Amino acid sequence: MFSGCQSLRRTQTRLALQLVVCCAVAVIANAAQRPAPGTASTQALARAAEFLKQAQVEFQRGDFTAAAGHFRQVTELVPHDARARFGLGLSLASLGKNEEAHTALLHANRLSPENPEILLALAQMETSLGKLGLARQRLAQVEKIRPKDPRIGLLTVETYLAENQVQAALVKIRALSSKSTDKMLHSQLASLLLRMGAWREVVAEYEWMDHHSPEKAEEAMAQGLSVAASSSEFRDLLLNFFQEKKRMNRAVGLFQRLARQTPDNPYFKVGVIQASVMGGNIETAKEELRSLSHIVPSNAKIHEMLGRFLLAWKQEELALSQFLRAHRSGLQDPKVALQLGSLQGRKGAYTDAIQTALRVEQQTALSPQIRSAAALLVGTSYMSAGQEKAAIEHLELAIQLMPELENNYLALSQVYEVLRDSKSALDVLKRGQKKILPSPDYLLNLGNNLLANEDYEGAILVLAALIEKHPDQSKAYLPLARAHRLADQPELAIQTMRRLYDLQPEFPMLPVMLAQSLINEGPSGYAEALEELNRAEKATPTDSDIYYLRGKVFLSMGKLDEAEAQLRRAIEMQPASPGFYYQLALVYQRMGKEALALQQIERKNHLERASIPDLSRPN
Amino acid sequence: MWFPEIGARLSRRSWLSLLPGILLPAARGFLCRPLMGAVQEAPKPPSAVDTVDVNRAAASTSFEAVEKTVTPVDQFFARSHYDQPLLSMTDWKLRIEGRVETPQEVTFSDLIECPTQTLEAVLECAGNRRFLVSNGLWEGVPLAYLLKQAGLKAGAAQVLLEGPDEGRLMEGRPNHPFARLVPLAKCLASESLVAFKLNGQFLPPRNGFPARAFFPGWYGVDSVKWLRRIVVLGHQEQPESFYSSGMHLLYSRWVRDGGQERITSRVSDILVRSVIAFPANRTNLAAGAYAVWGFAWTGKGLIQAVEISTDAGTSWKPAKLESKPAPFAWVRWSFDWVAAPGAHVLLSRARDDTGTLQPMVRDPSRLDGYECNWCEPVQCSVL
Repeated sequence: MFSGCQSLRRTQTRLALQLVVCCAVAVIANAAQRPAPGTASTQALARAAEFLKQAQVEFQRGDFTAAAGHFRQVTELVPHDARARFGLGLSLASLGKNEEAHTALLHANRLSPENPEILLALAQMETSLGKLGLARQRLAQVEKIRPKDPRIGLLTVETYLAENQVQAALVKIRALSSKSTDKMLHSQLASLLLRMGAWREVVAEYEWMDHHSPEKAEEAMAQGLSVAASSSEFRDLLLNFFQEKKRMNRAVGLFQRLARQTPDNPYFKVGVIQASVMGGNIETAKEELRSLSHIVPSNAKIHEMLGRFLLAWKQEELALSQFLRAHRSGLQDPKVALQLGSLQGRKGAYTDAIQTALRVEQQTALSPQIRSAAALLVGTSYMSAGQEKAAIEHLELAIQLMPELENNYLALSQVYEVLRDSKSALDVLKRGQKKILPSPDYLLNLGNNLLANEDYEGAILVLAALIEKHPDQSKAYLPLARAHRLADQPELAIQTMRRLYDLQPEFPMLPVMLAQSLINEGPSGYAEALEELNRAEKATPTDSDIYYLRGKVFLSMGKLDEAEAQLRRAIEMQPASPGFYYQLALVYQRMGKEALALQQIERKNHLERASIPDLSRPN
Repeated sequence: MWFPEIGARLSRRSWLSLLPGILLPAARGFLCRPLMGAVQEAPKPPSAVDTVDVNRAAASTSFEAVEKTVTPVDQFFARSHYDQPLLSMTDWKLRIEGRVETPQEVTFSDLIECPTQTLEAVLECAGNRRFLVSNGLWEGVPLAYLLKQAGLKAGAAQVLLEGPDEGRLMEGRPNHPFARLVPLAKCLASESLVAFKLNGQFLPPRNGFPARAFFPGWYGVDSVKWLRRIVVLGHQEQPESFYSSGMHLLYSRWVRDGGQERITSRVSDILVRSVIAFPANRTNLAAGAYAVWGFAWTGKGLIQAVEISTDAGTSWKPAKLESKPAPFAWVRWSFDWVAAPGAHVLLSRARDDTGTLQPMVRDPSRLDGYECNWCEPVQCSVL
């Protein structure tokens, strides 16, 4: 958090100097209002006044060497002039001559012991010289004279920082910040915090400033970014601030301004990109990404960082582009490579995904977790590319490297399912079951594969337990019902479907399937089957299977006229279904209408007859 | 235009001298199959060599797999002249050179970060008889944008587009990369792309991954796959490899005109056309009500209407357009048909907004195997 702490001591003197200079003009002018005591001649006084005036002008324009010279001349002419001693001290401090400056300020203090400006400057100088006890005494003196002066607090913070008491400094800053409405103080606090690397606190100060003076806040932010441009944490905090305020356009503008001022600094461009993405302006982001690639064509760190950001903002292709740039820039990070490979696979570039992940998989020095993830990616990419044999090889490796990861087993079993090798698929899942704590998804796959392998009892065991524990697993009900049916447990099959119906009344086709099961039960199920079909008709009146099944029930019940009507309706809706004609033929046969029955059988045969291939078809 | 130049360079005699041995064995494939009637007996113009049938399973499209209007990627047709190159997005680069101020080298990352355009459009093989057509959502960088980045120099008039797939187009000709020459005006058209996505995914390798040229409204041959080089050329410039490969002789209209056989122009704009997806040809049906459906498209303008005949063209009834006609994309149509017992010949014909009607038969003067947009009959037996 406090990344700036290490450089605190180095910056002490500079910081002190800045504070001194900040108030120097007012201080000198203030001191100048006091008549200089002493016994100098009138002529000397006149000359001293002239020198003093010159020194002040020089000081203001930053020519501290000249100013120091003229202040010194004044002290020679009027040794008791506190203004000249003070000015000399400030000028020397500005020139980095701290010991000499300290002497001059002490002299000024002796001449004007109650002057708070001199005391503050002295405290500042003593802080930077490491004379913290003395500095605190001066600050205590100032507090008595001018208790509300915000600089007392600031310099107190300085003394803490000089001792590396970062927490104490922060406590003091928070206290100052919460009490004061002085904009200058908040600005100074922000600067201090910025140097400390206390990014969160800096942004809190900006927030305060933004509330009271948005323009100054933006200026402070610009300064802050200039200091901490490369800190992604600081940038993120600032961007989040703008996002919370719903002012991403201002963020874009701020970063664009900085980017224009310092076109070689890539981090301002990065800021523009991030702010644009967060504001939903993807085209601007793309434009800036192109521009950034010209400034830093091969900065792997920046490309990687942007890749992660873009991925977090669901800009997968742009993230892929950045990871690709990072990769081309020589980034060796296997996690980034896996991110890249995963994105390549997700977007259909399977060959690239394989190549990318393979490079990770083959690095034997890497951890088994990383290599297993790579092997999983290689395997699934091969599967997507239709190369099942290679997929199996790599997924086996993934399992070997991380036997406790269920995704490895699931992926491998899916390859075997694609190959219609349900026995191998089941073996893989059984193998995994011994090593992992299976998830509901895993158990569902296991149950389905047991079913596919005609192990109905096994399937019932797994799927029933799954539903017992996770009743919301709607995908488990139908295979369980099927397993019951195939295990000669039709009542349990119907019961399972009814449970699904209670759970999800909208489950597609369920009433029709339930009706089918009830019909399979024989005459005892007909009444209920017709009820289910009525319910299905209300939900999906265009489903021709409803009328077909009704026709079958009526036929079995001997209600031939109703059966004929229902089957004719089914045929009207779906004239190309051979099974419908067969049922209708049975109805006509029972009616004794042999010719009509024969006609239906002919139609069924006509539809079932393979179409004659059109040999003239050219392509 | 470069056709007159060809005519000047290649006399009728030299054309004929090319013919007997010009076709490699594989060229006797789909593109130069005998067409109709008298054309079957005519001497054949030089034709493309379909040496590679990339992924036979998906080499031609399945209309049944089309949901609404978009052909699924795994059902998209693919045809190539040469072997499919194995390319990676990591090191793929597209060079833009020739008559440009600043030659460019575009990476896959650059493409992704460029402004892109997405449009639904038909891709149809110039030699399509039925199944070499698909309709997809294409995304890519406007070619005009890339050319503008490079800065066109004065005199730029045509663009050579080249892929890395290489081979021999005709016997007696040297090996060269597949390349097409396209007028600059078409390249600068707003719809022309360097496409890298199809239906929201990166292009499948057989369809041109990492990127291909795509000229909506034009036959697929100019939409060079696996694009690696774009060379901007002046009006008179003749790229040596293009001409020495023999590519300039292909994909042109070859007609018999007053006893003479000659090339008139190159094929470019897709001609107005429709197909019946259901029922398939030679299908057995039971009497009843069916929704006949299919697609219609055109390279220029919009499909205005589709008509259906269930009596081999004796009478026509309007079909219902089920999707809104849009430039370059096909439109889905349907027609409610009550099929009575008997043999039926179904036909569909489309009309575009310029008034052009899909022809019933092939122009008898045409000798080549391109632009086969005449109405194709679908026979049904209804019981």
